[in-house]
Amino acid sequence: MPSYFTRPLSRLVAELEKLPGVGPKSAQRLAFFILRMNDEEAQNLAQAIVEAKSHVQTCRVCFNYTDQDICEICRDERRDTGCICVVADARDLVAFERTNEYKGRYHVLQGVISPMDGIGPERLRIRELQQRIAQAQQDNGSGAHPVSEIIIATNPTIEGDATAMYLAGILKPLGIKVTRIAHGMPVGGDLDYADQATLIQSLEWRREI
Amino acid sequence: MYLKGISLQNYRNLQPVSLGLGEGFWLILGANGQGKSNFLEAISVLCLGKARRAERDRDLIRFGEDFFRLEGKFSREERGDLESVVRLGPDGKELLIFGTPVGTLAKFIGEASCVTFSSDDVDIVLGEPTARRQFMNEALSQLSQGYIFDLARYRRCRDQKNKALKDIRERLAPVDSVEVWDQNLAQYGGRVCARRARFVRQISELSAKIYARLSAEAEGLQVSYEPNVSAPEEAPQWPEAMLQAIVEKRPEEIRRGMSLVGPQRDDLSITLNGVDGRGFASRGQARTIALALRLAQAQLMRKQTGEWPILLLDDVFAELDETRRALLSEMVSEAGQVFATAASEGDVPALEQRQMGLITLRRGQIEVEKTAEAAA
Ligand SMILES: Nc1ncnc2c1ncn2[C@@H]1O[C@H](COP(=O)(O)OP(=O)(O)OP(=O)(O)O)[C@@H](O)[C@H]1O
Ligand SMILES: [Mg+2]
Ligand SMILES: [Zn+2]
Repeated sequence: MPSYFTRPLSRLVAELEKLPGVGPKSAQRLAFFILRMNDEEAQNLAQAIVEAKSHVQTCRVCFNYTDQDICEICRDERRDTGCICVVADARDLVAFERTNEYKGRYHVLQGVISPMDGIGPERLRIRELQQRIAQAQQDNGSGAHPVSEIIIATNPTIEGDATAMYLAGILKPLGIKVTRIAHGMPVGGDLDYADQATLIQSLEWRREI
Repeated sequence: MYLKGISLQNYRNLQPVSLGLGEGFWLILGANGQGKSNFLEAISVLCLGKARRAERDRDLIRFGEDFFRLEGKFSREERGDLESVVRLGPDGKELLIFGTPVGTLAKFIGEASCVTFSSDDVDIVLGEPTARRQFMNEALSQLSQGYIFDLARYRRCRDQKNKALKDIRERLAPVDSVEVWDQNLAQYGGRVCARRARFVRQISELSAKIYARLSAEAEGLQVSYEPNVSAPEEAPQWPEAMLQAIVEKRPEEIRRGMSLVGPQRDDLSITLNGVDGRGFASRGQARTIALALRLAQAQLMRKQTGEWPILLLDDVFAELDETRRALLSEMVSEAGQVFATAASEGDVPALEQRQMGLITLRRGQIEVEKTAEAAA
């Protein structure tokens, strides 16, 4: 690409262009905006990126983002350990948390099954979910299964449905109640954008699969 | 329904123009290659939100330009007026209804509706099954938003499943990884088939009557649905019937590495007096059958939406003899608006000429010479 920018500027544009949804035009616009910032603002932005990258990791238990080994939700004793809500993405977890309705735990799959993108079940955090359930049972000894319900909250897309189907196939033989949230939500919609009322409803109307 | 006005910019070879139009029968006259078909196509793009055939939308942009824009103002009886825009530029396609972007094609299509009659329609009879499936898809997508949604989901699911089957064949994935797609495949595929079955039943009755009028020999036309799955008694049983067929075919699907059950393998059977017409009908017979099917499609849309679609007749009259011309022009006279192209005035039935509107086309330049008088 022939560059009309001085080297540091074209490097900034090139880096910004790698972000999702940012084309060459917006990358330029953002770069020029950053150049007009005062020094402190620019420093803050750069530091925020570096810090987020070095301090944020995924929770060892549920794979939510956290700055610790185990996330706040997993450490919160008041939350029901017997109910696990399985979401595709950490953004979906945030959508549920915003409703203030759900008091159980989560498990973030980090994606959905999609052969066209080369993603099979083994690429998701499904094995970890199985281990987590097995561990809970072991810790519990001989009593009733400590995990009483698994709510599958993947998006109602073709891939979200297939992932739910796969999970039901491996979890139901364990004798755990498996439910899927009801989709009163806009057709083809993402959890991320669903409004809170719809989410609360869809939790309430979840059905066994 | 009729088009009150249309504006075109950078569309194929057509010069930029804003035209006022109205109800009635419009004749579009021009020598070969002047842009008559392109003008009809522009109207259909305003109804369908995309090119009719397998063509890429990009081909619609005038050579050397980087966008086209079409704007239409429609008058509708039941649902009130409509203003729509289709714009395709370097950053994609925009579909607007009253200036507001609509997210998906499914929400755009069906707002305004049209039926195109063209000489390519003989492919429905003489061509490959794809042409017959395309006929069903084009008609059904204007009749039901649910159909477009189900078909799009079905295709996505089938593509995922085909990739899964390929991975299994190459031993990249376990054999049971295919099963998670089947439920949705049967669900959406079954719904597509149920709608097609009903559509063909309706179209069959209408087209048989029309064909009997059009053909002097009183040959019996019969059109029926030939699904790739044995059809269940009742429409709601389609998904279940399809799932069963999928499960039965699973070993073969795994062996061949592709999905073998579903609407992508459907066909229409077309017989004349009990004899297969597909591939065997004479050209003249095929033309009359295709015409009967298109008229039946228009009548069905009229029945279901309460309103005639706009009829776009591309060089259709020129292909017919005097009697059939008269019959056709009588049959389309009920429609709110008809556009018919011809290379010469002699190609259109004389009885229409008095009230007819006249548009001429010269090297992409569109001129309204005379406005149409709405039929009383
Ligand atoms: N994207 C495009 N940009 C510019 N010109 C185009 C484009 N696509 C097609 N054309 C031109 O449009 C002309 C064809 O127009 P059209 O098919 O509408 O003619 P017609 O009047 O229907 O002719 P006929 O009587 O032969 O059917 C051709 O000359 C073709 O080169
Ligand atoms: Mg033409
Ligand atoms: Zn956690």
